[in-house]
Amino acid sequence: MISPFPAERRPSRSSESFRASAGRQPVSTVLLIGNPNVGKSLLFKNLTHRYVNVSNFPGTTVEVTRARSAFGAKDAEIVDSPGINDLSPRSDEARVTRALLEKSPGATVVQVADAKNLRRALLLTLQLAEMGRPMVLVLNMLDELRARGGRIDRAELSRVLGIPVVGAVALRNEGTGELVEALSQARPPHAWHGQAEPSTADEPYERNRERLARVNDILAATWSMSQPSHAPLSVRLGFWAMHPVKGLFFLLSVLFLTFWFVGLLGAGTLVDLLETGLFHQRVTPLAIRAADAVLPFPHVHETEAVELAVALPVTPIHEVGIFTSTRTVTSPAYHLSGKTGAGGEILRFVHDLLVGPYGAFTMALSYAFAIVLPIVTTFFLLFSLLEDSGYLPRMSILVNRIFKLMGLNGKAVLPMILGLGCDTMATMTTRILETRKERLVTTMLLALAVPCSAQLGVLLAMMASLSPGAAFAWLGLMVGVVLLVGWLSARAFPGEAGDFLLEIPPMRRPQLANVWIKTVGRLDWYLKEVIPLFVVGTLALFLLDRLHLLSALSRFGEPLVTGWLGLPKETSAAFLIGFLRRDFGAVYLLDAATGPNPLLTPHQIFVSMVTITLFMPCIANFLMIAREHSLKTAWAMAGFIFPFAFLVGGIVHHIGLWLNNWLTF
Amino acid sequence: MAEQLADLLTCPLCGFEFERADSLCGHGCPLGAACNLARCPVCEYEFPEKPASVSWLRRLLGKAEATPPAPCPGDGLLTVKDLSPGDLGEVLSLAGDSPSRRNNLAVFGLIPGSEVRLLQRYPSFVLRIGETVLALDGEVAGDIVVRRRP
Repeated sequence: MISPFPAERRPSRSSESFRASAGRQPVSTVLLIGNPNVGKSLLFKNLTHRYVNVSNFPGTTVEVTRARSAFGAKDAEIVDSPGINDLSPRSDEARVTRALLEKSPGATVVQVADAKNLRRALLLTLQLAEMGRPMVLVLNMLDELRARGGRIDRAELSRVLGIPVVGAVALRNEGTGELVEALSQARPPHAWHGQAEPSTADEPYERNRERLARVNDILAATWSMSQPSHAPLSVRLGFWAMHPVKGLFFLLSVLFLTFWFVGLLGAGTLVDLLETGLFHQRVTPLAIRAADAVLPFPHVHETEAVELAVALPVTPIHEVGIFTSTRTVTSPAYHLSGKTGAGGEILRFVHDLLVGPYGAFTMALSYAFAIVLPIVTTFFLLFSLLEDSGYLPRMSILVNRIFKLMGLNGKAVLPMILGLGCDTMATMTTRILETRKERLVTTMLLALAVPCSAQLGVLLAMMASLSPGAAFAWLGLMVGVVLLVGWLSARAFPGEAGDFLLEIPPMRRPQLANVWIKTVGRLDWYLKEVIPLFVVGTLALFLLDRLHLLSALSRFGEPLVTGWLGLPKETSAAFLIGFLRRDFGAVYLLDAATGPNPLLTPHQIFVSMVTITLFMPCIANFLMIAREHSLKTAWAMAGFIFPFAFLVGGIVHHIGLWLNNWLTF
Repeated sequence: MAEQLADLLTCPLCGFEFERADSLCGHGCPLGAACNLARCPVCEYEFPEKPASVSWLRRLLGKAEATPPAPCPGDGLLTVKDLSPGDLGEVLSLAGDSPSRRNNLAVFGLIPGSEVRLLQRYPSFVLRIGETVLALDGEVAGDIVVRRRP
């Protein structure tokens, strides 16, 4: 998966072991280059046994990844690169690839080609040939070519180009051995030069025209296609997904499936099971008893009856009950049963820090594991399936016109959907957009109104205490904010939107192994990134509370929170921590919204939900914006987003009040 | 890119068009980098360049500077926009005045002589060139001049 921080990752053994092996044999470099979405990363995985993010849409790899691999007695460094259609340095990817080629003059170039799209691959081959590097051409996806009735004469192609040509099905790890053997026979392709006049504005185009004419000659000699009489189901499915009517139906089905799987099964059943069944009924009482044994001071914990009802959801209001169980357990609330001395006070402090009502175990860990984790897991699982199926680029066909209103085009739907997983990762994916304006507007909308899966989890839990109507109102409001802010920023930011020109990959049956690895990789990232912050945030709030700084800070924010948003002053802490991570701020709001005697009325829950959704996602997102654009841009966005969040929250509050008065009269 | 090259200043007094670098500036001007005035090299009239905040407001209020309409292919010529779904066409030329757009199309195999099939028109145009399926919007589709093939 794409890690948001390091510019260039080296998932490799330690450098010491390299030097040791490098002394044995000179290390050769193998550059994997090819059109977008042809399976370079899959081949990289097959060659090195290191996993990198693989999906079925163009632009998955945005950075260069390297790893070492041993082929027989020889060590080689394999380099995976972003996909390019054209070597002329117009796009970032082409510049990255050119820089790679220049940095390693002795490298062997392995061009990965989609066998179905040989024409485009050969255009790139001719461009690479002009550089005179030793090359091997890999024809990937031979199975799909055969399924469509195509044939390639590999021996003839190899003769015409003058380089070894290897067939492969990278998805099933076929042809990897053949490629490794061919690497030693890599040689520069036959020289070929066109006659286009250099240094005119149209030069790249004119030269590509010449190359394509040459490619057509090569294809005529080596490539044949006999269309099968009827299209396979995956192809027909792919067309339905783009159709104006069937596509809409398709989209609604996908949305409902997502809602059912993540919103009902993940946020409902799994959260019940983990939060009530595991944490509330078992882990928390155990932690309290353990803490009491180690930290004795005179106190008695209260007990409460906790009921667990597990049900399989069908629709938001219908579910099939599976079982219920009730246990009487120790609750974190307690009263003192005697005098505590100075030593006792210290013990009590540590006790509260760990298992008090706002303790690390009782609050931070139970929220991170029981409420957020199930939703993040279900979301990442479904999302990986969608990514590998090839459906996501088809969505952009449907929404292109709507995105045009926001000065964007359909391509921007990819980062936006990715943002539902993690806004920080999605901010990095905005690189697939062509112009700076599109990248800025998309980054802005991501930071403003696209809740990431961690936050979505907490928000869904909060919505459970509201009516379905309120959930739709929230959704409508967020879509409205995206459209309004997008429309305004399309006018406010200078520049043009790029052309909407997107390659649509074929629909494929997702490979469960790949889906699984991707989900686990993202979860691993989530656990490392989020849980420490949850624990640190809880500790910080706990200390602020004990030092009575929290109430002072809350008083400071009172005019805004109590006056403008109409929320109780205790929620100031939630907004304060929301500056760090908005999902963590939402956890505090959830705490105030649920429980035996909730602090917030449904109206207040709605207002606070809207406000915290519009916050900037997290510090990591801020840093990513600073990295992708500039620190100034990041501050400018923060300077817009936070006041805007409070503005919208306040407007919702006042409209709510007004509606309420109006309805009662 | 090409848009920036065309970023000429026009003197409001005499209408002379000149580049920023040709602005006539006195030596030892105290304004230095803070200066956003340009002086016409012909009539020496000094005028403020369009300040960023004003153009920002103008864009916001929808009074964007008019962009010249793209040259459209003459009558009698078909573009991909005029095909109906299922039609097969042969690309004759790529119109429009953006070289980068032309090249972006070319790398997908869309050059004069290549054969395209229009798969659908709504909500976006979808074309097939060989085994590549390409989604594009009407603006780009209108730049691809074709001849209908049976």
